[in-house]
Amino acid sequence: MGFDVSFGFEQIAFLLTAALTLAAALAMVFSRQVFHAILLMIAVFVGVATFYVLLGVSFMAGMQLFIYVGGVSVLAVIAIMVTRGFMGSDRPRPARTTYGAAIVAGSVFIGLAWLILRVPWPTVPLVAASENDLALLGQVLVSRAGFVVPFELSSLLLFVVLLGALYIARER
Amino acid sequence: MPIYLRYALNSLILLATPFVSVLILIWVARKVIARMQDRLGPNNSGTWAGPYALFQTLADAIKILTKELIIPEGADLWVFLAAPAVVLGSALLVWLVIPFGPTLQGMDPDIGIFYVVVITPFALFAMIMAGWSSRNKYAALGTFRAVAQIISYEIPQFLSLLIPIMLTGSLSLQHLVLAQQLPFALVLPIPALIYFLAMTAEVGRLPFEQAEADAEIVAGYFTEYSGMMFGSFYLAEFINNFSVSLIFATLFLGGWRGPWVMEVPLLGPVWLLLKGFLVFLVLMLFWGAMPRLRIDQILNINWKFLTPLALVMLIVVAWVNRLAFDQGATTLVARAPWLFAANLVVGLVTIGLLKLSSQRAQRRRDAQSFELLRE
Amino acid sequence: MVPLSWYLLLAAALFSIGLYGILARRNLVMILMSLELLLNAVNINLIAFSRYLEEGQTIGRVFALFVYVIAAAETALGLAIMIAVWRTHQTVAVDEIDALKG
Repeated sequence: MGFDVSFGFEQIAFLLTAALTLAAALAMVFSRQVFHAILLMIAVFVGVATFYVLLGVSFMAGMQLFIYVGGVSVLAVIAIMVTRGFMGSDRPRPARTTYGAAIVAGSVFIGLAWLILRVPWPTVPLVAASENDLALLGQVLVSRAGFVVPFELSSLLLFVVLLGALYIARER
Repeated sequence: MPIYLRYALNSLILLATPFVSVLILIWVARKVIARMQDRLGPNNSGTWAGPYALFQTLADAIKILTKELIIPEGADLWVFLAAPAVVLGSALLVWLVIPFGPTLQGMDPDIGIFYVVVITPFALFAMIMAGWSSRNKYAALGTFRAVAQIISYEIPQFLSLLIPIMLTGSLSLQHLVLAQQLPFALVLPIPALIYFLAMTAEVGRLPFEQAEADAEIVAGYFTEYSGMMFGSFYLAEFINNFSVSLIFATLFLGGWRGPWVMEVPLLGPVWLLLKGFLVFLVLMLFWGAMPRLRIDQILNINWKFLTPLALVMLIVVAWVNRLAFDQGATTLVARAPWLFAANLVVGLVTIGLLKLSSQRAQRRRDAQSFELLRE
Repeated sequence: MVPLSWYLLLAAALFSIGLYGILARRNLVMILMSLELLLNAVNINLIAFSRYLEEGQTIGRVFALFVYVIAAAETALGLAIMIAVWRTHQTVAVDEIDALKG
């Protein structure tokens, strides 16, 4: 099952970060103040970036912070500051819906955990971490045998989204 | 020495350096601006503050520590209290990767300069936290201005940052310094200029001082803060000013490189701090000399001038660099004339275009005033 | 190193929390943010799989990068729609936006 591991620095760091991240995520979905929820969401993003550092892919940690903290969160803050009023509290849904949601989410988690624990996953990576493989990642992204078409298409997608967001959100 | 003791000592030094240097730099800034405005600045009259009031900042710091912390009614308490800590923390985090010497660096991650870029949004979020939690219209206005200004100026900053990265082929700050057989500012004057302007806007110094324009919105996002919480914002501001100066020196002025640095490694930090200090001095001269631009003017400069110019520079430098490489110029020194010539051409064309557009604007203004006169 | 199953369990927990947020909250912003949690959980899985099981260690990261693109696009459009809805309905609670019900 993979739980019989020695507890070194990395294991303790993982468990601590996991506890903080999940606590922040829980506090976020239960938070009544939208602004607090955004701050807690940033905490979750920082926690996820920490996992990437623990996994030895610090570039992805950088991307995570760059896109989520620098982009998505700033966008959310601006949007809720522009349309104030619902910045305040969020009236909860009826208890029936909340319990239903909790049951669905809980059973999804139990099902996933059951599936995960059934499989003998590896406990150590296949190859040792190589920190300086950014060049390889870049080559894969823009090579013809790699992902150049989706890469260029994603830039097109972002451009279309930019125009679409401007069109939808403009003052009429 | 056990390893954890060494780590503790190193982090202590790394933490102390910005604070100590900022105590000196605040004195320098006040003196320089005072002289520019025909004043004496802090001096030794009245209270004892050492020769030339050298310890004035220290005295101010001690005074500010004894002041009452006022929490405004209706403030969002925890967010209000957390904001100064976040802003100070994000200002200090940058110092972790600044290379002071060939081996003298807190840490050299492979994402290097990308780390510096990634840290900046946290300062922005501290501003948002402060502005939102204070329940004060001036604070909210300051936050809006800060957000609009900083996220806009990030774009030309990153674009001009990409050019040295492209020439180096690495994100690591140490590699960026090692690649500069010539300082990049000599090879790439226009990207250096764009970066400098964007960096000034990012730390909110004049002429881009809109987030805390003291004549309009009291002190912007930290209007409601008092005592040491205000002190944290003030300190973080100066630490940021100095750390962006150091990053500029690292990226464009050759970092720790200088005469005899290979023989005497201890000269590395001296050269870097000297270069960073010069950049900081230019920032302070701007502060003393420049008027404040309006927020729409600031955003216009960014979107209509700096961003297109940075994009053009990125394409031109990539192309010329490749061209020179194909012509057999394999080292940076050999490619420098090519790149400099490209910069010169782009610069002249830009100046010409600016002149044309200013003439057009002038004609439009003339026509408008003529219309007004006729009425 | 930490065993792979820990990362998978963590991602599953994050996914479930995000799912709860989507189902239980009324505010459109909160739903969008919970959706980001789901995408983050997926990204943790992708990167952990690529780190532990993949020899080249790139394909997983490339997919995670594309997830970032989608996440950014989704947030931008979602918030734009939210602002438009706010202008016409003066609310962003999803159960009060029922103009199509007739």
